[in-house]
Amino acid sequence: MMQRSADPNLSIQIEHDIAEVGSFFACTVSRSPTDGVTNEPGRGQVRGVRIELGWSTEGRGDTDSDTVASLVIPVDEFGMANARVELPVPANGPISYDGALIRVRWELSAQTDIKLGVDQRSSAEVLVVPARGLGTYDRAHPLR
Amino acid sequence: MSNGVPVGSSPPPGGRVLTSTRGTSFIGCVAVVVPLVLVIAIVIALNGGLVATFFAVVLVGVTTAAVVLGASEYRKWDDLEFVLPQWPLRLGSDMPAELIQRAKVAVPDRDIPVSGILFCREKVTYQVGTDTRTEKNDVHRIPFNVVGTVRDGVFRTTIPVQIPVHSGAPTIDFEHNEIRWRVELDLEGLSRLQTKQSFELVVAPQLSGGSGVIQDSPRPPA
Repeated sequence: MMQRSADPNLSIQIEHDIAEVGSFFACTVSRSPTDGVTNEPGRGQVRGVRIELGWSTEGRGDTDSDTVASLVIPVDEFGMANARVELPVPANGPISYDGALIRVRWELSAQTDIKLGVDQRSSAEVLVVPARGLGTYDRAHPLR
Repeated sequence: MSNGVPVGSSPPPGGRVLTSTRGTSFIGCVAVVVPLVLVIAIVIALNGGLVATFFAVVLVGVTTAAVVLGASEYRKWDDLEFVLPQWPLRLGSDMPAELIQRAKVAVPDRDIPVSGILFCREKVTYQVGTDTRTEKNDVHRIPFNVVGTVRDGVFRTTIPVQIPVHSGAPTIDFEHNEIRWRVELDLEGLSRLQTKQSFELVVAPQLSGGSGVIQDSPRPPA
């Protein structure tokens, strides 16, 4: 699954957008060089791309959220990056859930870290299913 | 007094024995009510006449009788045990769990009806101004009725524990959002002391045996 990004130079390709608890989401992060701009230290320098996996609740209650995995991919002197990363999903979940008062949503996000600039963030919803539930996923999930 | 049955069940391999908090509740209740009644009785006696003193004495007498009766019932039985063959439970778990309570004194053999409910409850809290409000909703409820027996000083029965795949969700315990599974039991006829008991179950985010499909919200009946 290809994810378009707020940063026009950044693309994230998620290999599978469903994962069991205790497994991982794998994605390839690519950043092409910024047109006509060298990535020299100073204002506007791209310092890296931060990838995060986390969940948050929605519904009647106040929001709970957590980031369960994150890492920073370095960029080269032209602001380029290309890396395959794996973000682990904790074995104790939570799983994606759509209940009466509570929803649990999972999100994989990427943020370009720009020195003295507004970081550009983009995200994609992913689905976390119970252990042993991946092979038996047989229909559209209500969260989609 | 021992009835020859070892006290406390051993958990089965991979399982767990949950124990009720009956004794703690009784002692806690006595610890709060007795001093309160004594204070009220003393205040009535000091500020009233002969009739008021009589009522204060009656109040103390009734409370003492209730505590003695409760203590006698409390001494009759050990805590109730809920023996689960699997722990934590999983989505799709379907198993019999055993309910056991051992008498500490001689009790007559008899049958005891047990009613109960297994439910999954969503509970949320949210802030409105300076108020914290709570809302609950049961997304899954299964009532059951079984008959237990008291034989040789031991009460036993089997409770069906079925965790569905299609409703409810694995246990979560966040700051403002919770999903909890609980069994509530009514054991009227076994003991006069606290006939209602409950046990909290933990459901892991795992399908039991390849039982089907992804967990999600309840489906309407077909």
